[in-house]
Amino acid sequence: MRSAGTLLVALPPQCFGNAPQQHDAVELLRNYMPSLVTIERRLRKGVGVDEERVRYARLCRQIEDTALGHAVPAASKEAFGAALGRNDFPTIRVGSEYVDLLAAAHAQGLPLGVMDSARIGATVFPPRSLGGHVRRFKELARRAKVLDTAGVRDRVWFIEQRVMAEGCGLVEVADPLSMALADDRVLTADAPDIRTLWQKLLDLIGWKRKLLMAPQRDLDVRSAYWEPAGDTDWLKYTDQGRGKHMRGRLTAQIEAAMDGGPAINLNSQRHNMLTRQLQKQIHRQPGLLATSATMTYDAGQPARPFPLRCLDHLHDSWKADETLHVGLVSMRHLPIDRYVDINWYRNVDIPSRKGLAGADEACHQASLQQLQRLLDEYRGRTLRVYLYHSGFVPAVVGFYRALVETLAALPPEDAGCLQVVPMLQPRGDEYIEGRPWPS
Amino acid sequence: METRGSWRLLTRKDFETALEDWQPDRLAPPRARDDNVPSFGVNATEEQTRATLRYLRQRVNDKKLEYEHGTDRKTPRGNVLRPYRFTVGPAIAALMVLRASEAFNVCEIDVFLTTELPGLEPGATTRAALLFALADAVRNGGSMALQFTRDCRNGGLPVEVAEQAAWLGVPLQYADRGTIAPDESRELYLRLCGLGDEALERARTLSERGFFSPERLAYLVSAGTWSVAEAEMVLLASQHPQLVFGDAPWAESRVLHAQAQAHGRAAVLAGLVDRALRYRDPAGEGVEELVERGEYEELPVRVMPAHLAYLHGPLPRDQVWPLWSLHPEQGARFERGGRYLVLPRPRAREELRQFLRQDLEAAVEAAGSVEGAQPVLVYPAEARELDEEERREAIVAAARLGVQVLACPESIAALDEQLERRLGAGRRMRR
Repeated sequence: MRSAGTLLVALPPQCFGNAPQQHDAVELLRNYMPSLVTIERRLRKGVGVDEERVRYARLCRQIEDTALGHAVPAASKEAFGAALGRNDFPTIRVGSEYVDLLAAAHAQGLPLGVMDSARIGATVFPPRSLGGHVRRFKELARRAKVLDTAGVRDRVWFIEQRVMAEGCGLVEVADPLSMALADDRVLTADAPDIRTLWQKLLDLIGWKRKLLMAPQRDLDVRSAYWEPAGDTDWLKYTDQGRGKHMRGRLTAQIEAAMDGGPAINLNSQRHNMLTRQLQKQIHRQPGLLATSATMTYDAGQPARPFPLRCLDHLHDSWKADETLHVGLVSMRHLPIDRYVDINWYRNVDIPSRKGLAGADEACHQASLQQLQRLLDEYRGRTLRVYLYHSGFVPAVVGFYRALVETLAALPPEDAGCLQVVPMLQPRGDEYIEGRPWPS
Repeated sequence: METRGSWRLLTRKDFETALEDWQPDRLAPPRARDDNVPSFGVNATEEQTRATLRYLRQRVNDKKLEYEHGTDRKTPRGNVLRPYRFTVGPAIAALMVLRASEAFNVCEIDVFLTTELPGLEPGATTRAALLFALADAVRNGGSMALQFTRDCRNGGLPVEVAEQAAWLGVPLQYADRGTIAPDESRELYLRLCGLGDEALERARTLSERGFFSPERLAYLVSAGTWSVAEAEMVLLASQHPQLVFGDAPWAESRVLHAQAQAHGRAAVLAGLVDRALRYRDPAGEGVEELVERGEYEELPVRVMPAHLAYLHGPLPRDQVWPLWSLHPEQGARFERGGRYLVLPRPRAREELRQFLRQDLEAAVEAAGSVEGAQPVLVYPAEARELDEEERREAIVAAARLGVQVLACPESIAALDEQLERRLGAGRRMRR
């Protein structure tokens, strides 16, 4: 396994200034910086992210390569100053512990790079950002108990004692293609030895171990990115009674979730069955408190809990003054266009890159807003909405969760102003009416 | 272990043209014959085969399967019983009907019929069919369990499947009820995708730590997103393969993104060299055969992660690559019977200037560890941006050390484009 080393290249402060420079590389770098700032701002705001990511990667590569063109090994104060005097960029190589630390932070889901206020995991550091960065970096390393490892310690030392002391900025260049097990401190050989006796002893043991135990071992870092689902449905397989099995499973999951048990797994549910089974639990029940059921999607992505036992039944004499036929999602089932007045969600507005839980949340938020507008529009009249389903579960769950939340929060004088009738999947040309919410 | 062939949905038209009068060479199962004699035919009894054909005739006429190739009709959904055929050249090598069962979170296999064909390793089509079923299980998001129905083989596992599992060293606990459990499927999938033992071990370790699922890696390799050699190199040479195969960082997390890019680009660059070495001009000999099989021929390749290098060869014939040479007048040369140790180094121009000498030394050292191997350093097109004098110096230094230096026609930006496509394929699939 190869050492994931990193080259730290100090850039003179002029690279980040406003005044034009004579030196080509410095002037080139100076011209790159405004674009970098703009792209980073757009990335942080989430504007045109796909294009900006491509631009950002290219620009960073340009900056890194330009910096590398004038990089010279210089760790001692004299060598550092002399390199700057020659318009070269003083450089050291630090070991893989730095990248290991970032990989561990990434595995824990911490935002890195542009998304981190201290730029942990970014590669370009203007001089003014380095103070906050190094403080935060040391804190991160201390929490991970790697502050004393060579790669991390050398990096902190170089930034604090050299880069910041000279008012420079910094560019980091990944160097994972260099020789495996290369001595990471070759470039820092002329640096004063800042280690304590204890650190020297630890390093000695470490190097002996490194030589004996090559290739290098992984840090014992774990990630929550994937874990086996652990479901045992496959063990209950029979070639008969699928629907019965799914109904039973869903009912048991809803009941367990209402009692504070495991979340309902929405990944293997059918939208029509889910709609029917949840509808059975939305009304208040004598002697039972309002509750909610936790929900989850694939790979444990949690979704917002579903409020249950919190709506009153409508009176038997309830009648709708107005009706509205609504398709759940546009462009998914074109044949339903002949039945519907409007579509509830625009297909393009449902995010596809945030997973099913992300889609669920987006649908939920959109529904909360639209339901409020709908109630305002039909204020003083009773409305029945016929909702023509698409099979996309996050859209279905997001809608009905928002519906129950909205109706439960209505003041008493507005109670009974809205009812939604699910129109489930067609049998032939006809849609099947589900039980109304609320009934 | 790879079997060249193609899977495709079996439509009514397909059935009528290919299977209506299908007479497998011999319908008797091969294992019923003398074991010492290579035998070909269907891995099922004649009665089972005929019953399967009758069933397939019904299935292709199912209303839910109103799909025909070359039309704009939608392909059937994952939870519909879908028939597929696997062909190797003109021969039908396997037939399968499967669906994703939402109720039980399994990939339900209703027909599993494979044949032993001349020219293929014994069990090759069974392995290909298992790979296809496992890929379908990945795509449809179930538990990864495979369930053979009662109609398929009376509720048990097909004998040929059990044989392959035993051959691959994967014990099947629920074979009597026709089930391959999720963990067993994952292990089977990993072993079927062709990775070596060391790479498999590393993949298992990373999976146990939650960086990615085994099926994710196996799918990326078996679907061709990453070749076996490329995947092995990333697994064994990179300290953080999860940045490529797992939760790949976005550009805004630049340090980790650059790490992933460095290893990913090296693999992509090595893949270009590999394909160029295996490419055979259809205008040359053996045209018909190569056109049918694709224009790439088999070539032994060994991954050497300690040197971040790939050992190719012995090569079947001389090759000259005019577009790859750093030398202005000579093409890159590869000799018949030669073994070449290829070190892909996707370095940008300034990085190349800094590291050229180190790379040359690394190439010599790496070649020293393999007898008779000739070192080849491969850079992207940026190598041509060196000025004339630098280029000449590089050529002289390389010649003195006996290293061939190549400049790939593709630039880093082009390599990155390919890499992003591959990382994107990973980002879109299950974890």
